[in-house]
Amino acid sequence: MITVRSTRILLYVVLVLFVVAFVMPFWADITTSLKTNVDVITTVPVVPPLSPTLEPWAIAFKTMGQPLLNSLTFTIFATIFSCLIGSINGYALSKIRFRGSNMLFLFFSIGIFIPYQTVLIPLVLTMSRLGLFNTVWALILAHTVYGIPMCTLLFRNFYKDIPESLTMAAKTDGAGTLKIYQSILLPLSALPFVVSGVFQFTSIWNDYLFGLILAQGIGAQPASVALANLKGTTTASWNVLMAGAIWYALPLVIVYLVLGKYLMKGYMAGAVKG
Amino acid sequence: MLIKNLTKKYGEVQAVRNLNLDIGEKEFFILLGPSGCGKSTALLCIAGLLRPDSGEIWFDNKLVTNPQHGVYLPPQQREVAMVFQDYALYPHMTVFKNIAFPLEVRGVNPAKIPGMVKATADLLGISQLLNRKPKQLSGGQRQRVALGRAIVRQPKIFLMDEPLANLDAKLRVYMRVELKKLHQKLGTTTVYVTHDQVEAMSLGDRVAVLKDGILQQVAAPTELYDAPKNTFVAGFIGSPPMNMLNGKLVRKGGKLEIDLGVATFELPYWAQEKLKQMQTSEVVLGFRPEDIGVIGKYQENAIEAKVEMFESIGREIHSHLTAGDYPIVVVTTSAEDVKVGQSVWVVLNEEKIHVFDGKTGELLA
Repeated sequence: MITVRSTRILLYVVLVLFVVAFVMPFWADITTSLKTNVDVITTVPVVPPLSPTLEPWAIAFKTMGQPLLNSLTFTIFATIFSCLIGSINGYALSKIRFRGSNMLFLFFSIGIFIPYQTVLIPLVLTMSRLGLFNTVWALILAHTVYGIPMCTLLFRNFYKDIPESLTMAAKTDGAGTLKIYQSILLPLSALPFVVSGVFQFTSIWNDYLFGLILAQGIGAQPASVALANLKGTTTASWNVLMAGAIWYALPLVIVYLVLGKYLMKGYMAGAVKG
Repeated sequence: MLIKNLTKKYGEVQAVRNLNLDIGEKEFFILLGPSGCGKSTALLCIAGLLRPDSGEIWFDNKLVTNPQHGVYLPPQQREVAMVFQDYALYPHMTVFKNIAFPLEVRGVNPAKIPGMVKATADLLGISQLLNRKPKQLSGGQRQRVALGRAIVRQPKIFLMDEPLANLDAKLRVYMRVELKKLHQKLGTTTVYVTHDQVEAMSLGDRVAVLKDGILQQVAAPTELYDAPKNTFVAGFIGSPPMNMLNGKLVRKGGKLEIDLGVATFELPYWAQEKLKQMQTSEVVLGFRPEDIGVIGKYQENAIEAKVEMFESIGREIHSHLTAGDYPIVVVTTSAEDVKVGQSVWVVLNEEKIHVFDGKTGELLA
């Protein structure tokens, strides 16, 4: 009895230490973002501000407002496009029998492992020839294409678990290939759409490299790049930087708060079905 | 419907080999066999959901499948409706939507759909369930919805793939009767796949028995029971199955006998006539458990056996005996005056014995 309790206590002590270690940076981020320039110099980051102010938030938003809008635009569009295309691919690869479908699926899967760096030069050349360089469209296109393999994999594995009798029944009922997708599979795909949607949103939102290379002008600059630029070259206004980081993290936090419940469900569903 | 030389392979495995069937209009036709015998494969080929490797399928006078000539009518254009073992109801749709789906897809006038769905639901007694989702229904109710979805568009042919296999025993018997009634009411040609011989016997106008993709026998249920063409059919149809004893056909004093090792059995006159050309050879003597009498003392042409145990099913009693190494099951309606361990003599109903070839299993007499 005693040993059980003491190991319990030990466990909680360790866990609390972990929590402190993990929460500390966020805490310092928030406190610093609310400090005046003087407070930043005179106090340690984790200490609450002496005279709290929202001014750093306003300054950060002035430079990050447009980039945040850019990021939201291309992230949302690229997420939707890659999920939709991934879903259609997944349908074709799991429910339509054709020669070489397994080979094709293998090729798609390889796409997941291609590092961003290896495609930079062809990517820039392609975008400038298409006349999309320095536009949000370049980022939408690049991220959509880069997201297709992962989304295809996710949807294909999800559709694989939908009994074949369902699509067979739809066929004998008279539904064609597109109708089956639209009336049967698509309405059943809420879960994979949430999972791959969150996954895509996170990775596209967090991308820095494509943003840096493909969109240098302010009209297309992503928030990740703008945040890095906030640092300045000679001085660092930590309070503004921290406020910028919070602005930058906000959309992701909202996405997780809204969809987190479904996300867990999705992961669980995958885990149980193996 | 006509099926000619249908063959379907999965890699090296031949699921269906040279299947020939002629299914009449309004017939309730059963494909029966153990799992893996190719019955479901054959059904999927008829539905157009699988492309066979060779052979032809005709609906009325229309060729719908012939791989050699590139003829393949997709399932959407065949006038067939299918009921699946797992019901395959669309989980996100209500019962109403499920039944209406084939009508909507086929472009039926939307104003007419609710009436047709209602009529079908009334026929199956599921009108009160129309607004529910499949997961809110019991197994039997789902089964009815699946039937409704098949019936509603009045197809030429129903295809059913073990539709009762997922129901519990009591409900299965009930739905079996319902299916039979439904068929009598609608008169639609039905091809029904099952591994359950009781289902096959009670539902089918005719039953085709398959084994390893090869057709064994096509016949009406009673004929299948009384005159099985080979040992496989004889053993598969009937519960408990037919007793089968290996023996040697020998000629003794101008008469044919089967030497069973533990006893010799003199064949009745009609069997003598049929087998008189035969040479000495391995044969199998078959007789149904209900075509036997058990007596307490020796009688001519009776087989001696020992009583092992009794099973009382309620309506009937199954007595398990052994004659040498062979188990013999006897079905009687009243308890015999014998005890476990006692020696008895088994008298066969000579009109109802079967003699099969010991090597090929084919019926000889």
